[in-house]
Amino acid sequence: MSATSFTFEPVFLGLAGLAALAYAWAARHKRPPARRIALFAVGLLLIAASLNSPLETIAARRLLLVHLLQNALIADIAPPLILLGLTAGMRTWLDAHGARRLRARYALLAWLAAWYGTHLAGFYDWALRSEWPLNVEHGLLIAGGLLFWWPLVSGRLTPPAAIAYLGAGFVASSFLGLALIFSSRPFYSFYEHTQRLWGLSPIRDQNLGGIVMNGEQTLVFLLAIGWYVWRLLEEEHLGAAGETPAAR
Amino acid sequence: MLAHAAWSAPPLVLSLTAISAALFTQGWLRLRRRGRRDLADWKRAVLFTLGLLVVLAGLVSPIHTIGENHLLSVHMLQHVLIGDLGIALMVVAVRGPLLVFLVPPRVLAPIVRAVLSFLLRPPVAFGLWAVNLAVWHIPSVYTSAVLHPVLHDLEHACWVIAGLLVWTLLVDPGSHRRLTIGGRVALAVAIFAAGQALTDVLVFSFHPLYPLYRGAYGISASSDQKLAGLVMMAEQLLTLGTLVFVLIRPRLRHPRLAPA
Repeated sequence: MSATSFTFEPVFLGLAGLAALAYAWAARHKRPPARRIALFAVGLLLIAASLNSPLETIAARRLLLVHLLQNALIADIAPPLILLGLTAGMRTWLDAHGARRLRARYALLAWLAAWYGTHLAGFYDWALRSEWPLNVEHGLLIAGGLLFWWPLVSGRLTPPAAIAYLGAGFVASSFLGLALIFSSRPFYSFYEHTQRLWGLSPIRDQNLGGIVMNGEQTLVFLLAIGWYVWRLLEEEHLGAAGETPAAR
Repeated sequence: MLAHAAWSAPPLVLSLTAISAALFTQGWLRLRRRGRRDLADWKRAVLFTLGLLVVLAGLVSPIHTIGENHLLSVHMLQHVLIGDLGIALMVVAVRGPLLVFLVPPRVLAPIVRAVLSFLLRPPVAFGLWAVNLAVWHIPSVYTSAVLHPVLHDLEHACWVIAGLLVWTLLVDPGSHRRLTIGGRVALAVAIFAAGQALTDVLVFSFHPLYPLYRGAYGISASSDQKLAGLVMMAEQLLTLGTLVFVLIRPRLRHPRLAPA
């Protein structure tokens, strides 16, 4: 199969379609702001497109680097975009239907378990060779990402708590990327025997994959931490002026 | 003793260490004699001594010789010890009235106060710290510093001064309130982000950037460079992470805020 051929994980096309329908149904009485719709749509598109395109072909058959890029897109970038696309009413509805019970510490643990668990060599190789478990791998990563970002987007964490939460997540998740960068032997036997692209050796492919993962997480987490530092400063400013965020 | 494990005793370093220790001791004793042992307890003495030893370890122990001659990662360790960890410990040790007792009033002439006041403006201090970080890591400048002892001493002095400036703002030992708690957290995040930019350059590069370092002790030049980035990241996470945690800890249980 050519590297530019399309490969599909139809289950995620279906899920993205269902999510879009659910969003439209939830927004039937009051149209959400355009930026919310755009964020939600981009989040869904990232998942649907990265799992149903030549990216999937290269990720599942040629290069670990592209597979890790795909995982970063669906686990770290798409989930916060999808959640930021929800309106206050949608978040309230989710809270009322069980999401409120999700404690931040358990969300963090669940995300880390999904992150490290799906990247264990045995599981990763099995998923790639058997193909259908790839759906499980990607489903776990998306679910883990949604769980991790929910306590932040739902607004239940104060800026200091959010900074601590993101800091813990950044540190705890960074070991995988660093292990891939510093490794001198391939972790995943599947990619040792595949037809490769761009002249990348298995080990260089793996090192580059670690760099992509580490660079992406650094960017996403520092941006998120920066946002909450901004809100912390804003709160102090309002506090000094004798106002409250609600009164503003 | 092997050259790579040699200790050194630069007179300037030892003299400055002795002066720092003497200043701290006299201030600490004066405060205790005034009956304020609570503000000059043994914990402060231990912290200051630890900070001084960390800086000294970076400049006189084999860390210095190995860093100068063999491994970039050990050179990076030296820089973070003398410009970050050691300084942070010392600044934390002298917070409160002890700071006033530390420096003889005659030293703080109006001109010195004016210069310090300017240097301790947050944008100035952070700007100097960031420029210092960037300039000394330009490969040609880095190589020149390693090859020329005077320039190397200047480099180390710059690390110490830049570290003192930002850690004074972060810890606020004199309670000058130049920054709010949020401002201090923001500064810590900015310092980490700037450090992370350098870390990424070192860790993400497949080719050695500093030709003087060709690897040693079974570590290749490329791995050594990646390790240097990791050393910086780990040390910053430790020092700045601890500081941010201490700053935000009392505020971790505020009322729920409006959603993002």
